[in-house]
Amino acid sequence: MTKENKKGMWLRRNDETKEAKNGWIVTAVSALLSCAMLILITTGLSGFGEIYSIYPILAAGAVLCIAYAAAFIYKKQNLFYMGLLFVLFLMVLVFGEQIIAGAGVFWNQLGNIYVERTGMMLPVFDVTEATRTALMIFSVFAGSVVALITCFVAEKKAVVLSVVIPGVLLLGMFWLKQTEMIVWFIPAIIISVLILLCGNWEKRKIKLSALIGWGMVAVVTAIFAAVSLNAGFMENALDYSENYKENQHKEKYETDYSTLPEGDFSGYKADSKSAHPALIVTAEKPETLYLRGFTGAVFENGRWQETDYKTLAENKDLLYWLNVNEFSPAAQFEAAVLEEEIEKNTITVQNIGACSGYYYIPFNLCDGKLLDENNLSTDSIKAEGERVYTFNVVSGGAQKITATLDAVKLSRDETVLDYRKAESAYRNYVTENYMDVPKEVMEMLGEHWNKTAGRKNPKELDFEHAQICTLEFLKKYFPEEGEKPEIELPLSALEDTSYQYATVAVMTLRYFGIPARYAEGYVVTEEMFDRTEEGNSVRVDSKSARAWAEVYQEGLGWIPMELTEGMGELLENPDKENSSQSTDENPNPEEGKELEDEPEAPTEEPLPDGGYMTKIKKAFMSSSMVMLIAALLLLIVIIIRREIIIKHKEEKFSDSDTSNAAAWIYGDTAVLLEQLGLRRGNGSMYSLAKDISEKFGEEYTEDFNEVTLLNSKAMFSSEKITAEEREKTLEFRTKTIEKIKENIKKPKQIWIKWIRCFY
Amino acid sequence: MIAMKLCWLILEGIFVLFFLYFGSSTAFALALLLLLLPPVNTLINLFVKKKIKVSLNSEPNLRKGESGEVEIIIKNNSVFPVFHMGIKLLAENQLNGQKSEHNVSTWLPSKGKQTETINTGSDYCGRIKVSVKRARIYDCFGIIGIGFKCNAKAYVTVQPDTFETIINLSPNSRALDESDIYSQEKAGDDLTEIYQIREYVPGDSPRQVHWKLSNKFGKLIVKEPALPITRNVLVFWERTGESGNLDIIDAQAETIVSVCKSLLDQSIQFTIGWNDTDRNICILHEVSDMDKFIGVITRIMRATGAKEGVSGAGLLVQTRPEALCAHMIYIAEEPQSEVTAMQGEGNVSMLLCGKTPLDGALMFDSEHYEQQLSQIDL
Repeated sequence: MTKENKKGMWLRRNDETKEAKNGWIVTAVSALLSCAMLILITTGLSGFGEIYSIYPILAAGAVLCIAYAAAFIYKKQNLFYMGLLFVLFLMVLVFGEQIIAGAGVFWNQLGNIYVERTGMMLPVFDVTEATRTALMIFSVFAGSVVALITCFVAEKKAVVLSVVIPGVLLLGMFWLKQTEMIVWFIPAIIISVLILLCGNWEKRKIKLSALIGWGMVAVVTAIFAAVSLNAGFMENALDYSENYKENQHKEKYETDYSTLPEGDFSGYKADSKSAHPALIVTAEKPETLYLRGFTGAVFENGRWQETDYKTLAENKDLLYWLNVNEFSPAAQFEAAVLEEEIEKNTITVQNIGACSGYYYIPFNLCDGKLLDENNLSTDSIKAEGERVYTFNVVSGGAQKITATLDAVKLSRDETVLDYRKAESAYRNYVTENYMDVPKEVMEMLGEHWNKTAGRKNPKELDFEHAQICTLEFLKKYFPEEGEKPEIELPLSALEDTSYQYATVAVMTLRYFGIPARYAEGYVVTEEMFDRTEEGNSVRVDSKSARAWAEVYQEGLGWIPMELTEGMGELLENPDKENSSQSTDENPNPEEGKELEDEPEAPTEEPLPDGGYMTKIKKAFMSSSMVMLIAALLLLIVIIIRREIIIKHKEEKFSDSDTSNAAAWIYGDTAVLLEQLGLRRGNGSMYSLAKDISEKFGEEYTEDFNEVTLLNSKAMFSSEKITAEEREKTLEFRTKTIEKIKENIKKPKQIWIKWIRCFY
Repeated sequence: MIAMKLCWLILEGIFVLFFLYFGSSTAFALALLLLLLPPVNTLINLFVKKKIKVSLNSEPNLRKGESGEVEIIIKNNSVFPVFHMGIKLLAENQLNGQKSEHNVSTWLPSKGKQTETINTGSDYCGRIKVSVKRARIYDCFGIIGIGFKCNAKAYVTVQPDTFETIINLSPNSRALDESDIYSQEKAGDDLTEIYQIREYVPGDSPRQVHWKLSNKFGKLIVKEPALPITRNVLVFWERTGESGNLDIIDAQAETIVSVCKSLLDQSIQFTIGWNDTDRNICILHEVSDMDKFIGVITRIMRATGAKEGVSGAGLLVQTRPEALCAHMIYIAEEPQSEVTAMQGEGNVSMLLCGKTPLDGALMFDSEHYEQQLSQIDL
């Protein structure tokens, strides 16, 4: 053997050649499983299986993986790849249109799922002639492409597949919010682990045991999951999840001063005594603004919720059509007002203490950057933490309602006719989806209606009569002070607050056939602008926070109930929540009574950039926490590290060979002496004796000489060191440590002890 | 193992994330299960580790470059299986200090045993000590490991290759070569002692004919002269002052074995010695025949060298002066100063393969030592 060929010693497994021989099985099976799993995941996530069978796509993938295995055996993989690419190329040439049509159908189905889960539209692929043949050809083509990729990756770097499979599933689930696909993780992870274990990665380390372990875990997991699903686990899990989401929402968007319940009245306590900073609203021209944030469409389990994504998905064609035709429910009023009548007023909202999850915008909003045409949601507009924003409103919107309504009804202008067409479509949607009243409320109202109005169907009332009846009912819910309510309130929570009042009003309106929704936000009045000394900026605090009912005014859109025609009397109702410092006679925010009073004891002076300050404060707190945790972890690591090093040292010091032990102790002591400035260099240890004598006296020097002699004996003599001699060396080390403690400054001591771990 | 841990971590993360974001009870159940499995399994492992026994078996001898099997037999006497077990094996060539490690992963059935086989070998001669450096049992995800003591060891001797060398032993005036011990294996030329009696074959000298017996048996019987065995040779391997170059150590080991073999071929009995650098003692063995020498080879193959320390020559002169004899073969990488004291007691033939040339020494290198040492005059 020549010198070049020598590799020294080896210690290795002896079955590598066997592994190499069986490589084709591992690679082909990995490719087959990955291909099948990827196809199942993709079709499952996209819902492709609902419109066409998944067997052709699976069969195409499987056949090609088997062909690949055969090619692998004969070492003709390159031929396989080239051949398959050529076939795919031919398919594109011959069946290009069908493949594109099939892909279009696939994409649109994916879009349907996306809308259903997120309420957002994806671009729609225009597929006019998608036959079953086209879907079949697309399936074969797609299956072949997936097979080609998986075979190639399985051969070159199988580990990539083990990451890609759960990765695709995870991304898909997050993107499409397909939570029920979580169970797919079990086969996906099993396949990933199989690929990892059977592939080339860590082949010398992992064996069958791991597979058995994972197999068992999978079985136990499945059993556990099955049991948990039937054991009321879901409720608890949902509670946890809800709490987490709420906490996340609070953490991300809310401040300590965010006061609105956002439709959830459970555990909410209205604080009417203290005033917390919320918004700074700057208007080009002062006017009354109903700045709504959260709006609720459905009342379930004692809380208001927005229209669910399923409803949006069912109406996606309509809503998307409205959006692309510049009919946005949030800016409908602007669309209704005649163009020549529009006078814009620029409003800037600086959110300093309110929840920044929503934009606070009024009903007379002019369309702008806040609206996204792909967002089908008809309720609140999400701000996602944005705290300063500017928008335009139709100036004096509240005063233009009647005139606009008349203009819309009478005008024959083409633009107005187009608007009316879109409005009509949207009105149908609203009538279908903003009329739900909980069953028990319906029964309660029905009972009272039957007593007072006979058998006439409340839905048959015209708009005006319905309004009058609503007002009558509301008076009975909320009688004058000292009188007993004639009807039991449908919502007993948050008694005597605008949240209760708005909820009851919305339900009653709906009972009488008027589409209505619940809205929360801040009301800014002209008087507030008048009182402020800062020009057109007004500081809005939590006392202006409230809820109100919004009525769908035919032809105009969602208008706060107080502003709608014929509903003026409603304003006479006490808004007791806000009236603790205002008169009971007129709680109308427009009257400004409740807002005239100065806050009793503002807990914090709202800063102009209060929102940012809160953010900074939160960021500071979070980063402090992170740093504290990191410091604690570091401390733990340092302590553990030192313990391990000291333990190793002690093991050496108590070596069964006492000579070895003494030599170790002496060597360690020499390092300690270096810390005391007694560095030996290349000479003899005895050369240090003089310096030691000068520094630490004769007694220590004698010990040093004795121990050095013992070390020579331990190192070079065939005579063994005795246990006593070893103890003597150890004693000298202890003395040296004491010298360190006496003669070295604390910071260096800490460095030597905890970082260098010398003792 | 890393793969398992990563998988566990990713899975746990995914399930927690899904549970928190989507309120999936399945995800919650899976996350909880994943979290509980490792500690529960570890508690069981604390009991199981006391019931595990590991032993190592290996082939005793190998040629250079040849692979031999080392069997790891692990017995689990508990009723619980072990999902994952990791053993770190350490192989150390005791002659040249070369080390190699290998991780073996396996599992153990309940009340059963598992046998794993690994290969070992070396391109350099020496005794390979295979031991268990670390043994751990893990939970089913390989997250929490519990170590346990394991003293299993196995030894494999990689035998040195030998080369032909002719040793010419010249008489030393200061010592007598006479001996009253004769070889039992080989005929010699000392007619005063008979090695064996056999029938005459053409070519035998008439002087060898045993007339008395020939007359008695009625056919020609000859007597073969015996070979006197001398004990005046010491072969000493200096293990101090070596650079750690594996090729040089290998060349020296092969040289010492080849020289000894050549001496045995000539029926020269000799003493072989080296210094133990760990314990600072001199080790000497009387070698009278091949069997004894084979036994000694195993010991030579674990003679650890050192760069510095008390020299072998010094130890020999000071602690074993009786071993010094008329002919001494001193094999070293670099000669130690105490070798001059040896020269005072007899002829010292130095075979050196270091970088420092020395007058009277036979220099060789690790590449051409077979040619350079084909003939040695003592």
